[in-house]
Amino acid sequence: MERTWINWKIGGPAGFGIKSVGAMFARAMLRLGQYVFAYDEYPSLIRGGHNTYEITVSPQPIYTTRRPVSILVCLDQMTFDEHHQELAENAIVIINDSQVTAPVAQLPSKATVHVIPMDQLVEENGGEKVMRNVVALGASIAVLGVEFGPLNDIIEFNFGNKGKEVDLNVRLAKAGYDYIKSHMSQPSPFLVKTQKNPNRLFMTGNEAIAWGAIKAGCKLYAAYPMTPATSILHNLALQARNYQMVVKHCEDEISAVNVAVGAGYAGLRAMTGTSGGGFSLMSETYGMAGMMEVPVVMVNAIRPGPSTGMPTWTGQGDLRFVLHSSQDEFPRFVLAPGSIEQCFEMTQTAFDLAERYQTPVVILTDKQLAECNIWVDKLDLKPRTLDRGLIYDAGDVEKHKPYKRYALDVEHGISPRTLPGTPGGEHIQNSDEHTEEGFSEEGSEMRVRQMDKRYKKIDAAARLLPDPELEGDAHADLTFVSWGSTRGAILEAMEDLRAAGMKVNFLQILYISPLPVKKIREVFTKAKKIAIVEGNKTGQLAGWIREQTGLASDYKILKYDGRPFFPHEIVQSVKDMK
Amino acid sequence: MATTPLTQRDYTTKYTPSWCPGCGNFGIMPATKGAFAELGIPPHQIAMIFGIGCSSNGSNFYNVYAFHGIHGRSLPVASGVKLANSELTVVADSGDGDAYGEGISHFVHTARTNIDITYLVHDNHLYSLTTGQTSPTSEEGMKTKSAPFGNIDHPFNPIATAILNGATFVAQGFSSDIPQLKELIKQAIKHRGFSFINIMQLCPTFNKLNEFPWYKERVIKLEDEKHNTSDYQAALMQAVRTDGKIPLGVFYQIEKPTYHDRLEQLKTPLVKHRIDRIDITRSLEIYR
Ligand SMILES: Cc1ncc(C[n+]2csc(CCOP(=O)(O)OP(=O)(O)O)c2C)c(N)n1
Ligand code: SF4
Repeated sequence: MERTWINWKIGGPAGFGIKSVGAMFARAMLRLGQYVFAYDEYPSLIRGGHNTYEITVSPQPIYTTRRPVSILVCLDQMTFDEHHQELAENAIVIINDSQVTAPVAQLPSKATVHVIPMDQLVEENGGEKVMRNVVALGASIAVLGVEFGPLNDIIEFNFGNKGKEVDLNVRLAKAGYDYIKSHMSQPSPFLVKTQKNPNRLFMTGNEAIAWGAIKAGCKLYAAYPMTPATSILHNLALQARNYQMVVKHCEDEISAVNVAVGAGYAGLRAMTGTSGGGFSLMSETYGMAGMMEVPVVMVNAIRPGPSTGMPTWTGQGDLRFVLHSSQDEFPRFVLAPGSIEQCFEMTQTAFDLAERYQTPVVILTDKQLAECNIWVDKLDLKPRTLDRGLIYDAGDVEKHKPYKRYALDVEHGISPRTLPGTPGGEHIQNSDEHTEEGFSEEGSEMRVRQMDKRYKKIDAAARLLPDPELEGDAHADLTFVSWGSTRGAILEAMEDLRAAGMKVNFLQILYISPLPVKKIREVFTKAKKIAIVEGNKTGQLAGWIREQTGLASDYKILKYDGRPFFPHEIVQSVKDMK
Repeated sequence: MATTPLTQRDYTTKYTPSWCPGCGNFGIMPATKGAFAELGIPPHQIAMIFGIGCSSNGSNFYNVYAFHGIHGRSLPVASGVKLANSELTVVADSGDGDAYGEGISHFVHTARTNIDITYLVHDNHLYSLTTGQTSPTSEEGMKTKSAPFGNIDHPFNPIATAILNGATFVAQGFSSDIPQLKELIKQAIKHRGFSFINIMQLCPTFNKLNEFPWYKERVIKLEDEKHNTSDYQAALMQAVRTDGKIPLGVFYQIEKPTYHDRLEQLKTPLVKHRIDRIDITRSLEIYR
């Protein structure tokens, strides 16, 4: 079945509730049983900027933003001027009569324009100017040929128990809705049909990470705000009382990661989160945790860089950085979820790995995944067995005298920990190279033995971690390989390519390190052609795979303009392949 | 079961101290261990978080839960440990370079939290492990390897900084007065809230300016001055004295709710919370 979808996009000046109205639109679609992907573009400004929010709606599962734009709602002239070239041939443009003009010459041939006296409707209904977004929302729902009911519910849901505000907003939305109903001369090409609503969730990657952490028993989150990781802090701060955890907004990222490491050392599941610049500041401590063998989970939500880069945009440029961040060598555990479910699941896995292998674990995401609201059918909420790793209590210490924190003769490089407070388990936890007891030691032999012991962990994990699965056609003409948020655009590009008669499949690398080398070898040897897709300039995953396996891909599809991959771009790249 | 009283030996490892003969750290360590012993805190209940420096090498010589971290970062680690397990006695231990150079922001901000940890700073007015460069507390004019023509920066005032930023116990000790230092450390550990002791330390190897006779001429005891330790302004006045004297003793001590007092979730130590069956089902309703 060929995919049908619409892309609804609203734009206006920052501070005009673009995001909140977008969220209400998306939720209304969700309740109609649609699949919804919401993507927002905003500059790194709080006021005075231009914001857009676009929502792709489809009766079939969707994984990313689709272009062109089907319905463009312009609250200001800038929205029209900057985005009219994104319009579909048969697009609908909704504009505010007092603010915006849509010159026919700039419109696609089959486009329709609805001019709505938004300001007037707001005034008549006793609202304030900023509320024209709600009028536009009502109008949008009407254009889609949908009942008003779900929107009513959403507005109530959105404003909670604020009675008067709900009434006013419902009135405004209804005014926009009725205006379209009474002025529409021909049926819209974008009708949304109600489907069964399986109570889908609608959340961002950061929310999924926050909830994954809470469910995994994370008891401390320490951070310093940095886009696009900040909303993890916000979400957890809001839940700290409900789930009896401590969320500490620290003086800087160095403090944040050290607080988390201190807590991890004392036996807590602890996490910190930041973006590249903050991760740079954390890097010395990242190495310290690796050297000392202390569990800690670190989220790096990537934005384009280097330096402060493009704070509110997306990219995948930090893969190599995280693999090499901090001096010298220690085993790296780097996880790269690419969907909401994976964010939720892998965050839980990250805590297990951190405690099992007594090591820092990095979760790599990016703005596209961190901040986009995406449908989820369900998250697995069943309690799962936590892997707290090898921790000796007083009895164990007594049985295994003398206790050695960094014992060498151990399985998988995992020496037993004792937590502060355990009688008999006193020791020195040492960032200097150390003896089995933890004392500082500069002898060459001990250095080598401790290094080798630490590295056993990554080998052990490589054997234990599940291999990624090849999704798609068994015998494909082209195999995509990628990581992180790029997953969404690839899955959709695959649909289009299949519709065009091509056989394609996809290997998503969930564990960047340890890299599933065996599986990659198998896939690379069987595949006819391989294209690695990633959001950076140099093909960092491609390089890493080559380094680890000696294997090279046939093509690289790379994008580094700060925008996410759109499916049609991948399709085009494939068409252009020689 | 009869319990034998704790002695310094209970806090001592088999690792031989590597400090230079005559080093002030040889005074600070017994004062610290003596305080632990006299307070009767068993070694396993103590977490000592060190930075990097000569003083921090002491981490090898303490039989407690010792954490030899990285330069300047002992305080945030100590905060993390205390947040995780409030039953522990948490002591952060740094040099003046560590504490007031790399770690200055943590010093100021940890004081503000009034978290119940004790901060001991070995102030030898130099970076010693890196062989004697200027530190934030080096006096103006002091010649060091990194300031061969004399230090031109104004020295940092740790005591005033601590008082100004909310530390609720602020004191100064001297590595050569072990009995007094031990008493101060005991008071600091017993104090509920952020307690801080700047410890004047001899470094016979590199610091030829601030030697024992130099101190002898300058140190005075706050006790003898009838100083009122709960008087904020009087404490600040003592901290900014201009007569060249070095006051030892408690500058300031007040009772204030600690970080833990102010968060209901810290009533029981976090490490004791059950985490194996956390149910988030109801909370997720907001995402529908
Ligand atoms: C990030 C970082 N910068 C520099 C150093 C080198 N370093 C080690 S100890 C030290 C200063 C030591 O001075 P202080 O903290 O006063 O301690 P002391 O040796 O005097 O006891 C420095 C700069 C380091 N280990 N890490
Ligand atoms: S260099 Fe100074 S501080 Fe370091 S051990 Fe020697 S005397 Fe002590």
